[in-house]
Amino acid sequence: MKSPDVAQRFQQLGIDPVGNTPEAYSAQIRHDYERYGRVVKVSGAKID
Amino acid sequence: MSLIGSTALFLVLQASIPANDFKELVALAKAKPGSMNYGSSGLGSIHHLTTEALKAAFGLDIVHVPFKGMGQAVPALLGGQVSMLFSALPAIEAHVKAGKVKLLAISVPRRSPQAPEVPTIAELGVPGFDFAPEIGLLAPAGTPPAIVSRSRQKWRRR
Repeated sequence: MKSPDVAQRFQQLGIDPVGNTPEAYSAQIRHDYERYGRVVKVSGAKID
Repeated sequence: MSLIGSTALFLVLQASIPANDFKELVALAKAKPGSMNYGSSGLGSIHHLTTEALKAAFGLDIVHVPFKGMGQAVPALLGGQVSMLFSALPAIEAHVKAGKVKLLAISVPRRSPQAPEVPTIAELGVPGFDFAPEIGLLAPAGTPPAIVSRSRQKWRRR
């Protein structure tokens, strides 16, 4: 992640680098799970 | 283990659909509810949920057509089987340049350096609209901390 090659390739692909800690990433996944859950409810999508 | 990075989705419209910007698309969708459809990479995918969030925010009736991956959804857009879809830029950039599709909006609250002319959905009336595909590194539960820590060193930015 620190190498210029990676930074350049990410930029070409439109990726914003993050590289956070396992704790921060876990917290974000839990937060996103709640958020996407609300979208699923609003959309009325159901498991077939 | 780590969120490596995040990117953005562009709302991409089939060139034959008579709307030149997002406002015209909303007007068209409201005038003829259910007349247009959108493709996604599958049920529950980021492409599906982002479009459903957009529909809910603007009160739109656009029919979902799930495909098996964007590799199938993008050709369906080009072929006119679907009217629109959300896609990352690399998958559709060449088709935008060729004039086969139009970029109407971006799913994150910051414009893209790759396409700065495309407005954010937040700007178009939904402050806080933010759906970003993510690239993350995961390991099975119970992976030894020493392994997690070693991998972590490779991915930290500083």
